[in-house]
Amino acid sequence: MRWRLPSAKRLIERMRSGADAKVSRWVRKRQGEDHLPLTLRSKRIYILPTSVGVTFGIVCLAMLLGSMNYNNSMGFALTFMLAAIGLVAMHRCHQNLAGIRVLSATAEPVFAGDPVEFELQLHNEGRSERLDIEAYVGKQIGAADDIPGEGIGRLRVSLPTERRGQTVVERFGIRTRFPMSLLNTWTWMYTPCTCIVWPRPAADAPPRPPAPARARGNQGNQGDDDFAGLRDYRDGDSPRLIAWKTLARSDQLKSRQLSGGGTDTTWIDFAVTPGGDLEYRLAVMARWIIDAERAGERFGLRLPDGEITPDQGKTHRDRCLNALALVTPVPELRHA
Amino acid sequence: MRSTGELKKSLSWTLLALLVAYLPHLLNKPIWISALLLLCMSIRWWAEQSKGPLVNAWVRTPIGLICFVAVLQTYNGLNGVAPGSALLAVMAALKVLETRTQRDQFVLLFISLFMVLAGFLVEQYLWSGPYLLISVSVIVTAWLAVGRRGKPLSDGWYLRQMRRHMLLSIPVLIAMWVLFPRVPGPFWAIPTESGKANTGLSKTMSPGDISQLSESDAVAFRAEFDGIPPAKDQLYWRAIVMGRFDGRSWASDDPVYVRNSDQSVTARGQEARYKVQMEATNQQWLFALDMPSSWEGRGVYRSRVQTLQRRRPVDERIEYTVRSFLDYNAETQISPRSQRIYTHLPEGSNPRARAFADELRKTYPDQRDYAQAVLNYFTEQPYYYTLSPPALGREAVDEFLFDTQRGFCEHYASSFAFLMRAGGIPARIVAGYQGGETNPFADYLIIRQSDAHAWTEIWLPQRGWVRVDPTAAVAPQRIEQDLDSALREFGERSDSLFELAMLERVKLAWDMVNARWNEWVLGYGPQTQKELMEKLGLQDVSWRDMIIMLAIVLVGIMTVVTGYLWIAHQPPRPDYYQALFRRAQRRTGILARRGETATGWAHRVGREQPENSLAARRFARHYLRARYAGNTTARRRLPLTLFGIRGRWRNRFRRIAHSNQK
Repeated sequence: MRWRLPSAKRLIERMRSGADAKVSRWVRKRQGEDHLPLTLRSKRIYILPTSVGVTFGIVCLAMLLGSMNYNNSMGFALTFMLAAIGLVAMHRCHQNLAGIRVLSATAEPVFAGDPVEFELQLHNEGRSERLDIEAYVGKQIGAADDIPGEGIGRLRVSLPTERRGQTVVERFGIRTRFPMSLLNTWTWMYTPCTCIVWPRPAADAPPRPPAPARARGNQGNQGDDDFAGLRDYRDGDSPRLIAWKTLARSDQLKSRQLSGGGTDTTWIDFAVTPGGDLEYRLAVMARWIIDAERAGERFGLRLPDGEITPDQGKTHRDRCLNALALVTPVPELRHA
Repeated sequence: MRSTGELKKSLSWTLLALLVAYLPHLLNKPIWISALLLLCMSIRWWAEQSKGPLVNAWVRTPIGLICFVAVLQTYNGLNGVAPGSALLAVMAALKVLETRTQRDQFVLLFISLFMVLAGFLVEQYLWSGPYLLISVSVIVTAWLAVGRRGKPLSDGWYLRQMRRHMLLSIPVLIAMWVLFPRVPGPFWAIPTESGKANTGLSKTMSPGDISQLSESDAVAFRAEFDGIPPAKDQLYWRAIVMGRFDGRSWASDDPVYVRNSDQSVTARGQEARYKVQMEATNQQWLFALDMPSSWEGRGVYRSRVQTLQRRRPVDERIEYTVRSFLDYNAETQISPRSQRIYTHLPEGSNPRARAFADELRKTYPDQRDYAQAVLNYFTEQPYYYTLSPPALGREAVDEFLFDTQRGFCEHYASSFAFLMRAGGIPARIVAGYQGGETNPFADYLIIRQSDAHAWTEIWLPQRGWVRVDPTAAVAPQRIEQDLDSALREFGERSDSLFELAMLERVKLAWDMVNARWNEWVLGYGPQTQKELMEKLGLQDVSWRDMIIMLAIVLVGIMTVVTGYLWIAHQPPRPDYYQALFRRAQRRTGILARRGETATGWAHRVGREQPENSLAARRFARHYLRARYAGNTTARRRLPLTLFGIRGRWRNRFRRIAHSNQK
């Protein structure tokens, strides 16, 4: 008999998720697609008792029966008081969510395997604060937070990632159980929000092959000997390129421009990555990109479906990593 | 598993809620249950403070089983409120030991609620009202603390939220209280709580029984008359009739019920209508003036000896309405069996009294003359009315009549009935209460245990049962005034030099509060509800109408509540803070100059009105923080700081132009 219990549990679970999906479809049809910023009006706010609330109701009913049977006045008073408290809790719970303005939903890219953190920005225009507000996506619930009166609150939900690609949240939920956890008030927002997941840099990546351009040029000599001129400093330029003497003279931050066109430019090329597995090759490339950026090099990216012209700096690195993440076929993880 | 540290704040509230809920049970539960609960709470508290481990399940389970068996043993079962709440307490104690999650704490709070209810089922008093409010407040505070999902907040915050929640709930509570249809219960049998000793009358009467009661000031019942109450010497509240005599004690027959349509009592004069609010006695009898003719009340019957009885013992405070004939004919026909019972005396008991009766009966052949002669005998002989008569032996009547001659009402009633029976006249003892104190604050009588009394009834042809009170012949003050004045007459009690009139009045006022509380709160039931509806001008309201009315009223109240909550969540008016500042200026009568800051204004107020110096600076501080720093606390307190500024009345109504001129 023991083995039956979990299967019954699973059955209930399946029924629940089935019902959930049905409700979700119905709500989606009802609400349509949402566009931020939006204000949470009663139309899109739903409320149901929690398990504690259901128990509370049953307890009230039992107490009512007991009081009637014993004809006990103080018993009636207690029962009515509890009923009143529950009723007020219902309205407070609903009002705690109604009227909040959702400004934005954003997420920073992460490496595969790291949790991606979506951040919702909420604006409470009213005078009194909103308490115990939680954001959630599916079964992932973020930490509860308060939004001060006439203030901004930030709610975060973390979602696990596995592979590079995109994590798409189709539906955000915002809920609150304030004040007594008797009721759950929630809203759903169908505002697709995408977060790019970079490939996790391979730990065992082979060393970068020497750049073909460099192979052609004067080997052994550092390219930075061929001074070609000065240009304005750009974010991410290596300290070695800064023209210190010019700086001392004129207080202007200049970088030395080096001659030889691509002689000191590395190309990180998909074609030279080892192995046959696409994901592994992308992981290796991610490693190389990070190493190259860390070394302050200028590098370009060649992928089967295009290339990114050489540049340097953090922004360039991110652009390259984004390109890696979006190499077709793009694995997508959808959360509803 | 949740780390224990997180529970810290909410756990102390949960334990406090449990403690408050257990308080009424503290005295009437076996000491080991209270000790167990307090011990478990202390252990859990200590584990929380020291971040120590919780008690192992291998220890908890056997303790639980032992406690369960112990409760079964103590109460011989689980039926009823007392064992039920004992089990609840044991469950709470063990649950406390394993409490580590939010869910566990909710279970404890539910147990607390049931414990509060159980306390009310055991007994309800005047203080049950405040207790309900306090206990529910603590439980709600704990609930808020446990339910909090964000960072734990301060105790003051939880208390403020609780206050807000309770204030919003109270209108709903009142509406439900008044309008929720009350139906007469019970639906299923309630086990009666027996074995509780109550002071009051008993089914048998031996010499000394009633004088014991006279020491008690406890309220037996209250009576409210329609119209003017009858004279004091008419107020004989009958409860028990005793017809069986064993030579020393009198005992009542088991009551035989008769129907309401019974015609054995007929009126000869006026009728009194009154409502009785009776305290619990755990006995079946009710109190009614001589002689009850009709009554309202569930399960109330009249016995063959004209007393009112209830099928179920009176184990709680009840209310009923009775009509009585103050002048009456009761049972003008007597059956030979009754004749035999009510003239029976045990063979050979009290020979001296018997001889005395025979002698007297020869002199007075008429029954009335004979009864009068016995009463005269009591008056003429040096009989003494006392609360502490000497002890009597086996031949109690003989010893009292001829040797000690000192006695209380039961002695006089007992010997009078004996002498009547010895003279061949059917006679019986009636026990009940006599008189009552009028409460000047509200028109009702308070009848206390000290008003307990015993008198006799004799049966006369054509006239039926006639009340004769031999105590009245000895100590007429007892009947015309009260026990105290009667005892004073006999030097038993000295007049106090200072009549504690003030204290007496306070006591009576307090009693009135009690009586009204009992009537409108504790006794609020189908009958009271109907009366209230009639007072509001609604005749014959069915329970369906009440439900509909309740629904309408609730929707109305909740609309107001939602409106209030909605307003609190609206953005403040753009000039909200400026408006408050203008009000502050209006109060002091000192207007801010153009370009003057609130702080500058406050300093100027301080110079010109030293009494407002502190208040104005306080206002200015809050104003700046609320308006410019967005400080939540300052925002909440800002309107309140206004009240600290003492202004002249005319200032408050003076309008101030929009910009602060001058």
